[in-house]
Amino acid sequence: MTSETGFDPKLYDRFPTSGARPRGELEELERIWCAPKGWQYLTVVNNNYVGIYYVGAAFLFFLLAGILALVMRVQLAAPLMGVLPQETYNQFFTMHGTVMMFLFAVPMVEALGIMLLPQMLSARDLPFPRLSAYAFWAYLVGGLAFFSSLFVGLAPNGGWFMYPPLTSTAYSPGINTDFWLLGIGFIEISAIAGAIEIVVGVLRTRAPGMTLDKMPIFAWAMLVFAIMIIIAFPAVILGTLLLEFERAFNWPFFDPTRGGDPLLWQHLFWFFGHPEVYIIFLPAAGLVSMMVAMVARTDLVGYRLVVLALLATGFISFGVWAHHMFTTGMPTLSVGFFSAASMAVSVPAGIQVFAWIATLAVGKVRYNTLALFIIGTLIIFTMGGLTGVMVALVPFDWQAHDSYFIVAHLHYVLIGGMVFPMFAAFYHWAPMVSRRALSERLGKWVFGLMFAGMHIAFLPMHLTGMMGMPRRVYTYLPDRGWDLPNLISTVGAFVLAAGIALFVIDLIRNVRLAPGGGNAGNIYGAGTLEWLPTELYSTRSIPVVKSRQPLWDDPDLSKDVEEGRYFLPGSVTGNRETIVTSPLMAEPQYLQIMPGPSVWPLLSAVFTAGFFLLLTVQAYGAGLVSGVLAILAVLRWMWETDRPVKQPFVDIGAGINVPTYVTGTSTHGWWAMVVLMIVIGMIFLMTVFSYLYLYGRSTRFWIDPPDAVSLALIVGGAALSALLAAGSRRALLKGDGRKRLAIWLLILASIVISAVTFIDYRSWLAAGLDPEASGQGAVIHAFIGLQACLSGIALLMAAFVAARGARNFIPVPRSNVIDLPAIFIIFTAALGAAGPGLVRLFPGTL
Amino acid sequence: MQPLIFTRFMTVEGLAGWPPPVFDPAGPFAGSITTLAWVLTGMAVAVLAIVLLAIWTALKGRPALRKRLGGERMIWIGGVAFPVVVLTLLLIWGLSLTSGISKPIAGTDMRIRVSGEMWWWRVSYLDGQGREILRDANEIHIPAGQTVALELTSADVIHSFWVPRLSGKLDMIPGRTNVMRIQADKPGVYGGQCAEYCGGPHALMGFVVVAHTPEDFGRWMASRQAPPPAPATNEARRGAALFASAGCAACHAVAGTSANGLAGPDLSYVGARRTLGAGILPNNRGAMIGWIGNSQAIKPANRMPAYTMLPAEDLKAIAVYLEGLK
Amino acid sequence: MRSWIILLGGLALWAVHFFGLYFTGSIFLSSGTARSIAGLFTLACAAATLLLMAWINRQSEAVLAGWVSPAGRAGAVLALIAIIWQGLPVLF
Repeated sequence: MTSETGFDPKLYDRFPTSGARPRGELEELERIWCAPKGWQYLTVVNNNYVGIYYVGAAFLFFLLAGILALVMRVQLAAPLMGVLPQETYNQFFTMHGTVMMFLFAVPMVEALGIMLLPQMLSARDLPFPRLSAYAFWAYLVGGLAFFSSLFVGLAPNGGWFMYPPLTSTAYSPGINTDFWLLGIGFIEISAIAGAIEIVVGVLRTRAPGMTLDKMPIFAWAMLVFAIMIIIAFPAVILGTLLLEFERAFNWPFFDPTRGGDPLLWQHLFWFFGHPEVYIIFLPAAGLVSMMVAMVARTDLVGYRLVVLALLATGFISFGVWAHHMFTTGMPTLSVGFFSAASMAVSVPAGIQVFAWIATLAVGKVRYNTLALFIIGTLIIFTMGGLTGVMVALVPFDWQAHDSYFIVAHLHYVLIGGMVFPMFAAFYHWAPMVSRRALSERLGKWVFGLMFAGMHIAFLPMHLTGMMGMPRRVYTYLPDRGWDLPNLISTVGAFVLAAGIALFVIDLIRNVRLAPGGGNAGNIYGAGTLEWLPTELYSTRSIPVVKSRQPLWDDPDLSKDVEEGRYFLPGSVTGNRETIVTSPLMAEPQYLQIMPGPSVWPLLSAVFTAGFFLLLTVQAYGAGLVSGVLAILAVLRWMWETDRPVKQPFVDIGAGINVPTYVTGTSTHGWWAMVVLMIVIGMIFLMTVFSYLYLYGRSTRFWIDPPDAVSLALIVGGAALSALLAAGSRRALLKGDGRKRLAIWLLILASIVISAVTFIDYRSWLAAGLDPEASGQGAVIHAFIGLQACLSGIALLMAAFVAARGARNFIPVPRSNVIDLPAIFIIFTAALGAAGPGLVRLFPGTL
Repeated sequence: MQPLIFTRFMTVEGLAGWPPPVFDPAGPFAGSITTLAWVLTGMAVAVLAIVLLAIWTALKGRPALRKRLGGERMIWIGGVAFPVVVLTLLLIWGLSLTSGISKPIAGTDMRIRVSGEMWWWRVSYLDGQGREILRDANEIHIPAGQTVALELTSADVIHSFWVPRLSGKLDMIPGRTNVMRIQADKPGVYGGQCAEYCGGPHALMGFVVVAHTPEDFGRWMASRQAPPPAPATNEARRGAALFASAGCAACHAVAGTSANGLAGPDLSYVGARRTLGAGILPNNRGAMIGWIGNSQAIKPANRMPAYTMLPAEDLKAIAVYLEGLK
Repeated sequence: MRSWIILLGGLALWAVHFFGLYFTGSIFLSSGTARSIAGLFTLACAAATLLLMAWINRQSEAVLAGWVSPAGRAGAVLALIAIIWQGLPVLF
């Protein structure tokens, strides 16, 4: 087998090691990863804690949004009920959809990833523990504030996809819509943060020997999930920004009277919104693939095909967004392309369903609660998938679209594709985090009630839709014949809710959290690494992985791992640390020193939330202060990073030596920066799309671009900035003497790129561009705004580097503190030339 | 609570939900979709049965069967080959149906422009040159057996035009005109409703399509060219005066009078309409009085102010006047 | 890198094809021009997918080739199905 990094796989044969471990090794590990006390519970960053917090918070939002649904079902139980007034109902359904999609489903799967991945990959923690803490707190504070808008009657009321012009200031003058944009803002931040964490975590912190083909399916699913977030979320990030700009500054992105177009929003929203469904489904499908194997007590049949199905879904889901727009009057040919792609995306789903059935057929199924939830998942998800195929056919969708048929379809897909797998996962993984497992006896009732309630509630809705009932109606008239199916649906909703209530009782009775060991352990006899004996430091030592079910294939593994007979049996530098491995073959590359608990991620999150919240309630001054404090807190948090330890090389077990400080393209920091640049690049591309789209709609209000001189200045300036940034890296290579030069070059680079942005802005101003006058003005201002934001970040980075330089916190001759800002500035410079180039040359000269 | 007015005047003809309108087409455009809907339903039920059978076999089947089910080959057959065959056929049918239904309109088709407004429908009948020849609201009259082209627009937010027994739905988007063809084979009344959430009382934004025999349609169209009859009774005349003095004319137009407001529905022949309040109430005197007196209680947040300050006899007089406009 | 191309090449070709069609349809609407371009592009992408499969068969030296090659071939098959389906609207 070919090696990826030159690592000799024969070295793995040195494990498990023999002989006694040094005294005090275990004690030191325990001291370094010790449990928090009192207030420290707020500053923990260990995934064992943050994962549980995250799951708990997401589950809370599930219950809250579920209660909203119950009240809505009471209102719809009979025609012309007066339980909820019209406006309140409109807020309720908007919040139900928004909270379920953004505050429950995405965070929940992300939370399960944060909780389970390090254990499954046998890493001590995720690569950026403080980032996950930040993402969690921003999400929790922001989500709670967002939900509270309901109690003061200011909740958004435009439906979870918030179509303008209904949500533009003309028809939604209140701050309700701004609350929605705010709530989504948080989830954008935490989703991107989580995605960075998961991409780097899955590709770079797997246990040695866990080659791609031995990775647990859930890790594959989370990898695809994270990459999909990176590609899809920028569309909604840009969409929400544009809508807020339109609302706040009157820039007409979506106003057809001034060259905007309401359909632009729909394209941006659904380019995110449909992949979003798979973003939710894939991790759950990954969990199902793992649990099916567990239930059937055999390896997953068709592992390779299932991995491929995940990858294919990840791709093809980006070609189906316009099937939410079949009724907007798009050209017939384009509609056909989207219909075909929507069909194609069902093939990978079919592969997974049949792989699960095949696995059940091969193995010997244990009929516990977990198995019931898995079988329930299969049935419900298949039904949702089949109605999905129905609505992928354009003519049928013309009838079904925006009717209760769709309500039924999407609940089948999401409950079958995400909620049931989640409950299965709760039953399966509870013993990993709790001293006691959940009750089997109650569990069967929970399943029975949920399964029956789900069908009673949603099966009749297919019919109600065919009977002509549109979705999002707060009431209906008595003469339509919709009474009976609606009453049945309401009864079903309460049966479903009873099942969930029973689960909550089970949770309270049986779950006793044990994040740091003492948990019930591997009572189901599973075979993957998360079932190794764990403490707060995860496993005592990090095993060499030789198969997909290591615990089944090596009965001694748990004992050897616990006795420290594998990699990293203690702390070699006295810090929290984990092994960074290569992406394909998981060959050990270096030792990552990990940060410990800190108050700064918490404070950064609170001030970030404060910034957005205060802006929403129009307290601009206080908002600005909070924003500045958030930036300062982030900088303070960064201050402690990138500090090399004394030992350049350490023995991570059995005499295998790896470096403790590396720079360049193989570092986790570099990878994270690349991921972030892809996110920004996607936002940029989406802006390009918006520009071209509005150009295609109407150029009635468009003006001529500034002259070529400005473009020459901009491109020249951007090139200069990129050269300076590259020069900074080179200068540092020359050693200590050139350190000051390196810092100065970086500062200069950031100043030059900021000046370029300013020149761009001034030249358009001189050309007479008015952001309020046309789609052109609005989008070009969005470009300039994006570029100004990036330049601002570049300036902050340069100032940060200068401050570190002054205190001598820059390692020489190579340093991530210089590297990462430098590539960021080069990237900013590239966008800074590309954007202005596009809007001047097209349609100007071309 | 909702006002009792609804329950007192429940039935509006043509809106009944059984048999389900999607499966009870009244014209060729809806009809071809119904065939597709039946086939798709059959496909879904059949595939579900196959999957359930496969699950059952996997769990309880004989070992030989389970062995056959439990391999990669079965994943290729069940997960790839089978869907590819079924979906290819469906896709081809769906594509040909799509292009058949969305053929460009013929020059001879009758044209009607329908504009969605928060929360009612403005209807304009157009001549061959696209000029407006008749103005109406919340009711679309068509000749049965003929294809009619609807030009769908919006005056404010996005709405969606849906008459399930005649056709699928098509969105009404500000800044765009979408064209939809409908045809009713037989005379009758066909209910419709806004399908795209448009805020506030979106739930109460209905309308009806009335199909006449071609002869009746011709007579109807001819009769509408003249202004409605002048009020005949004293009460109706008093109502007409009140209509003017209470400010109704600021938003509503009545042909042949000084009332020429354009913000709300045209009331020239309101007495002949089948429904009030945009397809939600049957048109009779009680409903009319209730609507004028306090439409906000019936359809909260609609654009018509409540006239609770008008005494009951005034409301009645206005209702009598409007009732006579037919 | 080569292993990633083997694994994802087919799906990447799918993406090229889909977005090619999307932009064709957006610029030329449902015209004859659009149909010709989309039809030819479909044939080109289908051919490229077949070539990719042949290329994958020769990549036994790549890292983890024993696993990524069969997976990549399966990906190319799925991509081919989707590409052909996406070409069908041209005919109607």
